[in-house]
Amino acid sequence: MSNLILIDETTVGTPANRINITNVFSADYDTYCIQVTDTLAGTQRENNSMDMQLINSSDSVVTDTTYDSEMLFARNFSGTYLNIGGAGRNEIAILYHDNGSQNGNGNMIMWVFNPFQSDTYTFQVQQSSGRMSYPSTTEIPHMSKGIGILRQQSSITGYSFINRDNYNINTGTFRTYGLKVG
Amino acid sequence: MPIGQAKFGLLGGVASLGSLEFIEEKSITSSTATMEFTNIKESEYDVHLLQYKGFEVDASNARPVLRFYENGTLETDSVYQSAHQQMRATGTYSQPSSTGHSYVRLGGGGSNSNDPDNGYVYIYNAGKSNRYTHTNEHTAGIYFGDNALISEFGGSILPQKSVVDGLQILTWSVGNNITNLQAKLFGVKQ
Repeated sequence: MSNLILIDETTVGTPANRINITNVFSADYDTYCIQVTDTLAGTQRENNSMDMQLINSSDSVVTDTTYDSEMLFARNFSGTYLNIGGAGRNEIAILYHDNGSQNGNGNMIMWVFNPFQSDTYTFQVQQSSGRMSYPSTTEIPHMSKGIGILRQQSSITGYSFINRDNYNINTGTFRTYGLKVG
Repeated sequence: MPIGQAKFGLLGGVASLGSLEFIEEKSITSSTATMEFTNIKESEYDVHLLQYKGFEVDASNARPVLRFYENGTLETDSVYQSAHQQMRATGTYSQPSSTGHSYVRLGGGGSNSNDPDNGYVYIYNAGKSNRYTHTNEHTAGIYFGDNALISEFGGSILPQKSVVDGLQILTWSVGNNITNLQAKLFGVKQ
């Protein structure tokens, strides 16, 4: 028997540029599901987005360029899809959204593998669906499917989302589940 | 701290109960036009997981699609939007997308008993009257044209601020019936 076990639920109360979710990865599980729903930015911007970074066992956000990430990104549903990512990036994933007047919603399901284990890299696969602005203030839908890795053999205990351009994250719910097996 | 954070199980001392909560299971084993989920408990969950398997239709060139009920009324207009990546074992890749579907696109298989389709759909914010309803889907099946594996993943949206309180699975080929389908609906505990 297996099931998802809710570890943490964090809802944005006061808007902030960075949201840290701490002490959610541990030796209790090696596979986690992160569900992000209903995010809105505080300020409108073309290509508005949040970068996801990881938090180590010292409670420090890993901000250097030790991530590799790649995603297939449908920006608008009537054009050519984009490939976003590469090696040596400073985020493990990107979630696009925008502010409320643009209906700029961000929603994502992510699976994270072996974050706490200190002798392995941390991997993720993710899928997102939402609404953003591009170009300028034109409202469009978006979807993505992607992968990411932190190329550090270190113990990761949490994660963080930071909105680009120092804009705030106004709303959003971040739930972290452990996958229980047996 | 500018956030409301609640720990469960690990740190909070709360009993660790399962968070993937079963809502309803439906099955079709003889010719039926649609499968309906009319009690999705949209006020209890902001993420739903719909799993389906064995989708088969009494026609060639069929595929499973999904429609939403808004406050009890089925939305059949061409207002849904989808973007998918399609991958076929024959080596063909394509990117079907539309801003004017009358459904949420699911998989690419499911034409008859030899070509079933299977998959899952995450549904976001169904019960929120001030939000659009979004989905992410990932499917695997057999394509009728060559009897080879076909898989699709992608996202879709019903860009209307409404309460989605029901789901309907049907076939893309108008006038045909589903001959086999098993589906389970879960809510992800908040």
